[in-house]
Amino acid sequence: MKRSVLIYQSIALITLAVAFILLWSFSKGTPFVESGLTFDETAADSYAVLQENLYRMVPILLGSIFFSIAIAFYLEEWLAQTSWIYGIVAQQITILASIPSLLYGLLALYFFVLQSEKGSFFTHALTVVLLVMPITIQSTQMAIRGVDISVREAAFALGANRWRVVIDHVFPNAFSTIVAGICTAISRALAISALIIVVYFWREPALQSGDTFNVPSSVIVLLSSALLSSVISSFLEKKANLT
Amino acid sequence: MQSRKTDPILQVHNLNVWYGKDQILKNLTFDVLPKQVTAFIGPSNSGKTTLVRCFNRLNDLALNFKLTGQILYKGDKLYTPKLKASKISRQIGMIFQKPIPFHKSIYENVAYSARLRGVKQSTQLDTTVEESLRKAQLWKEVYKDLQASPDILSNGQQQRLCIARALAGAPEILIFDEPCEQLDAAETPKLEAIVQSLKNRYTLIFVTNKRRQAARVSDVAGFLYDGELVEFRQTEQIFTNPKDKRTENYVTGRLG
Ligand SMILES: Nc1ncnc2c1ncn2[C@@H]1O[C@H](COP(=O)(O)OP(=O)(O)OP(=O)(O)O)[C@@H](O)[C@H]1O
Ligand SMILES: [Mg+2]
Repeated sequence: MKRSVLIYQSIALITLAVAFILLWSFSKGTPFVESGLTFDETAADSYAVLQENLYRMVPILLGSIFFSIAIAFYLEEWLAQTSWIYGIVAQQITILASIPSLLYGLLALYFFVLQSEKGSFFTHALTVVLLVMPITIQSTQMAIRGVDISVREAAFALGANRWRVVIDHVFPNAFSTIVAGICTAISRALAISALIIVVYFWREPALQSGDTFNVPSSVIVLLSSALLSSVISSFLEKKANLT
Repeated sequence: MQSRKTDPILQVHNLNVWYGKDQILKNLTFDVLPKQVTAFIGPSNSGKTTLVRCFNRLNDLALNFKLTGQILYKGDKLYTPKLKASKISRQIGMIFQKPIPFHKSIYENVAYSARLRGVKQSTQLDTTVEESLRKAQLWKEVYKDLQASPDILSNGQQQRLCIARALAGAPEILIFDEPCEQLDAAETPKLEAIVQSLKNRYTLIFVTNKRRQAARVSDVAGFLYDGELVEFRQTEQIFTNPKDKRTENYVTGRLG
């Protein structure tokens, strides 16, 4: 139930962002996707920086997803079994995960205005990590808890240790729900990235000169992948609920 | 019925079990002899499941579980920090109320427990799978569909698959916790026949709340009532000549 709220939220956010970009681009009276661009030198530089930053975001995004899944498994399968700290940590994550992504976006924008190019990459990365990790951890936790206790018990009763139970049973059984969670998180990260790029674009007068409107096109790509991944996520979730 | 002069495989001494503040088992003492069927009977919530889960240390999974007293498996302490629960459960298998096949093929379900104990060679796996399925009297029904999902099997067949899977782990003791509870009536005799055929090779512990079933399958029976082991004797005697009034009420159907 909670996750479907997240999906609606991310779709709403994406729609908002798309509408925003459409309006903005139209007011400039330029097409979104333009090939054969002519950059002046500074524009080319700024554009290169932007593109490089985007590429560097990919490993950060994947890394934080991987890390989140590992944390979720550690929390559910190990910490929950042994320590009262579990309750506190789980609660903190719930709180972080329920912060609307728009707030992260605003935070990022605020810092963005203050910061230099290098700093802006850092802000972008931090926003994505902060945004992605709590939701991924939480949705993975839900997926792990969703695995039938009897399956675990049956495996333990055969002499599997916890590692084996997790690898052979919990993970495969929770897999599609975990992926659904990842898609939701990615779609939110993409939407925020799109927003941040727009702002970056705004800040760089060099990029706005002439016909260099390649940035909106990358924004469109980001947003459509965001939309796609939230569609995949809701599809996977439906599938996971059926089985 | 023959009086064997064998060492007990399980010795339970002054066993007390709590879940949180609730005492579930109260001062149980008894021995389980090898290559026999030992049944535990008793009304709902009397602690039968809790008791047998002490043997394979499945209760360790519950955070608020507490145990005092002693359980010896082949003379060695079952509850010591040195001994890993997974090592114990490899030797003490368990069949649950509900059949719980894994999301793997029929073959892989059975091979799973063989792999857990280190069998790697595929020919050896093949023989283990076949032998185990034969012992569980399922081979003839599934040998053509070994790669199929267990979903195609009936409830009763799935339960037999779980028995085969447990056997493939080469356990010494096999615990059945009300294994017929969720099966079709026609499956019950099949399962009881399997229990009889396994008896001379394994030590069997059989939990049931059907008195007749306990009378049919077991050599020794224990009557649990509200966490107490009221009586623990030869099955025949429990049913024909109960010592305790509560046992008498239960076996005659006036209680539980
Ligand atoms: N994990 C647990 N935490 C707390 N209480 C528990 C737990 N498991 C069982 N109990 C309690 O222990 C008591 C004995 O339960 P148990 O399952 O051993 O009974 P049983 O004889 O197997 O009953 P049934 O015939 O219904 O299977 C019950 O009152 C039950 O509520
Ligand atoms: Mg029970």
